[in-house]
Amino acid sequence: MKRSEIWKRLEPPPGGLARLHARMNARPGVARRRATVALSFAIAAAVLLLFFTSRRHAIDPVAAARQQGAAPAITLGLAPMPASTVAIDGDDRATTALVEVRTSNPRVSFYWVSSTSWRD
Amino acid sequence: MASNRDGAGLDEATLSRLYLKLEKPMFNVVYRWLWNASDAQEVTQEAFLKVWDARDRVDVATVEPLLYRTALNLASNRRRSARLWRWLGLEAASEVTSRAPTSEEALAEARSAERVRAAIDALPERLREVIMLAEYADLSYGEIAATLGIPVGTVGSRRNAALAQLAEALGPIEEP
Repeated sequence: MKRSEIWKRLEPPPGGLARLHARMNARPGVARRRATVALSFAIAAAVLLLFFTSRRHAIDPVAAARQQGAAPAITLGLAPMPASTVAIDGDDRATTALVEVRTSNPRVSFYWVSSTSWRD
Repeated sequence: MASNRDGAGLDEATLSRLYLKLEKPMFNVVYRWLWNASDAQEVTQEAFLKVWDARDRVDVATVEPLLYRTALNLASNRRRSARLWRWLGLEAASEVTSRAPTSEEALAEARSAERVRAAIDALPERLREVIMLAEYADLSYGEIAATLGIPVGTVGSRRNAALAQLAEALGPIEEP
């Protein structure tokens, strides 16, 4: 095959330079494109921030129980039930509530003990 | 390669002069990636627009290799995406011949052009880059090496490999 057949040179479509100038003029400036990119990143960052902060407010009952103290933790089975002797003095009888909570085992009962007087 | 204003930034007049000088060779190089005149012109212009956007950081002394490199990258990306679209069945195959042949001579010419296209298309990109820059852009080995960022010796070996592969597909290449 002849060399000229392989390396045939084609003419580009006419009006190339004029078209290039038109595209150059129609093109937004570099500063404007950078501003658009920066704005897009800012919006994406804001969306991510919102996503993560809203997730942080979601209540995790187990973590909350651990933070808030023993009673919820006991309810959720995360802490053992405390066993101790409760003594109510004569002076406190008027302001102490005692409720027996029976269980399915007749030999086991729980007692909820609480003071009816408000103290800080 | 020509240097218009060594060390200076690129201005519109210089870019226009460069376009007039490089439009045809660059178009011919890019055309062998895309096989579509309109796409080839668009990619050629896109390379100039990209360099224009970076004009403050461009040294006119080295702008020609940069333009060729940019055009080759753009052409390669567009070819890849066109293949993907075709594979997905979302785009028709690019133009093969611009008009139907009307005589036997024209038919033979169209067949010959199709064989050339198939042979060039079958070249690996690293070989095609070298042979196209040598044949259409008339760049020296040193200039091709600077454009592609490869050693001069590699340019020679890749050019020979490309010619050997083309000769295998098209038969011996006769000098005019």
